[in-house]
Amino acid sequence: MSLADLDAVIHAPKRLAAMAVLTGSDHVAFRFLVDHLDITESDLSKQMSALEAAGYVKVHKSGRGRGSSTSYSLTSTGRSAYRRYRTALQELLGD
Amino acid sequence: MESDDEIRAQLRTLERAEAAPYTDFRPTPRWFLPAAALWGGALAAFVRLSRSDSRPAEIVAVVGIIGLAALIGAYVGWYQRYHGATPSLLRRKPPEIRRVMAFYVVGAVVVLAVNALTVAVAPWWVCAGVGFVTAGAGLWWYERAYAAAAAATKERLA
Repeated sequence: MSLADLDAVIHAPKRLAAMAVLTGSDHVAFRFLVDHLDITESDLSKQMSALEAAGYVKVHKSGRGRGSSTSYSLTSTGRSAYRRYRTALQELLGD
Repeated sequence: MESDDEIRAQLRTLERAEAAPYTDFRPTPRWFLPAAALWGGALAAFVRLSRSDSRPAEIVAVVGIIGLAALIGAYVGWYQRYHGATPSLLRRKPPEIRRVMAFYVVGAVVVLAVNALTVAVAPWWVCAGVGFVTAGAGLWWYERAYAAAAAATKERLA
């Protein structure tokens, strides 16, 4: 079985990296992810929507207009999926 | 099928991303250290005043401690927005960061013990001074140690 078969949603490198960032924090701001992943805002929105649709991340929105902010957190399903995928990577190396 | 090199590179990227909330942070504002030292001094003074026999001093102490607690709440809220990805204290951390956080806990216990002793034997103004110096010096050390640990983590994962 290939890694893509294991979990096609997080097999995509940008989504996998976003999930990895989310493991280290309870809430990660949209801006932080844009800066860390070095991708455009629209690309990040697209990637995070896919993760949200899979039930892997939860979106938190606060405020309206210019002062509004969006942040993300991992759901327990997302955390397990990430851990499973990471373990599979390590097992492929025989670690 | 991915090659071993590709998988190793992918794991490296994941480790860097996992560490990002701990290693990627904006510089602490200049006001933080003096403000935190003043906070520590004020807390020690208010705790000492709360143990006095004077009713007005006790009222000042209670109001002051409530105010300091509110300040901490406001600071945490502000810091979460400022940082963008506040590191989780409970999740797995890079070993360099884990080490410096362990020192922080030990340092905090020492600072608390010194201040508890001072509160037990000294007047409020001495407590304020000791609180100011110990909180300020402790956080000054922690800021530098944490920055060095974050830099070491980044270098290891580069």
